[in-house]
Amino acid sequence: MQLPDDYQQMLDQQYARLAAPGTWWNGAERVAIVATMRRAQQGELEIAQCLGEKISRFVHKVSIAAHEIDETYVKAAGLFMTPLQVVELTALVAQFSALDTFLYGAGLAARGLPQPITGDPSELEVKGAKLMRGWFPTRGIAGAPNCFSAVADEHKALHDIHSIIYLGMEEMADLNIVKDLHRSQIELLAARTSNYNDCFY
Amino acid sequence: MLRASCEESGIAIDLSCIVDDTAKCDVEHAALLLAFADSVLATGPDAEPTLENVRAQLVANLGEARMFRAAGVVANFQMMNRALDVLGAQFGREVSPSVVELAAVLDMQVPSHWGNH
Repeated sequence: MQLPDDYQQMLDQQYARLAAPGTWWNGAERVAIVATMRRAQQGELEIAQCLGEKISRFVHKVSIAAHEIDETYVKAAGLFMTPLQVVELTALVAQFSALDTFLYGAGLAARGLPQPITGDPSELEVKGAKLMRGWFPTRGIAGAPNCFSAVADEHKALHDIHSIIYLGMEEMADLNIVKDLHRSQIELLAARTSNYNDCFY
Repeated sequence: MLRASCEESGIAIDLSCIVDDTAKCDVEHAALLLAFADSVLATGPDAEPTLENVRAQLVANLGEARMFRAAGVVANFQMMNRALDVLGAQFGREVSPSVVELAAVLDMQVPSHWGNH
């Protein structure tokens, strides 16, 4: 099967980006987060040395039981991670769950994890990000399009992935769009997946 | 979005088709698409051979590009579900009756923090 170029380029960019220092985690920590996510989805709890037990358990929870996370749980996480670290960690788990699922679903070879690139996180803060009807900072009222907006690189990555494998923001406004599949078919798949994940959003 | 897209296109659908394969759903190739989503998300020893079989049916009936799109949509919601569950977004000042009704249809709980501000 021949994967279209736009999918291929997006996948190459995202797996390469993982290895580099991020905004609040370094490259080794970012790769460890995704490795821990993969083990969780195979039914194993891995305590990554560079993350420690509490953060590894948080990764495990987001990976396989995100629907069980409530305000009490996220407040407890605030004792060992900053809110922006949680945003970047969640972005990595969510994005690489998606990319791994895509490859598996499409019958394409799984990708190995890259060697981390040394360097410090940028610690770039996003102006205007604050708590707005969510548990973590966002630019604007918390919702799907801006869920990672407090960490600029992860916000961009979400939209880069989303627009290739699903729909871009402009396309989403068209309830009758055909992008290989008709919108009703796309949303049927979306609804079934969300139900499988016990996600009511 | 499923309800909205079906209404826009004049497609008859009972939203309980999300959890009940016998419910009415006139979305084209619904059964095959749902079987594909199920097989991508399934775990266990039979999961991969089942997926290979369903994927082959999907490609035979709809072509490779649509199979890639179907895999992409399932993948996208693996991402968005986790993102939104952790973010804890609240929708509106109170939970609307239509949301409560939909939760009942799907046998799901409306997240307790919705409308909680």
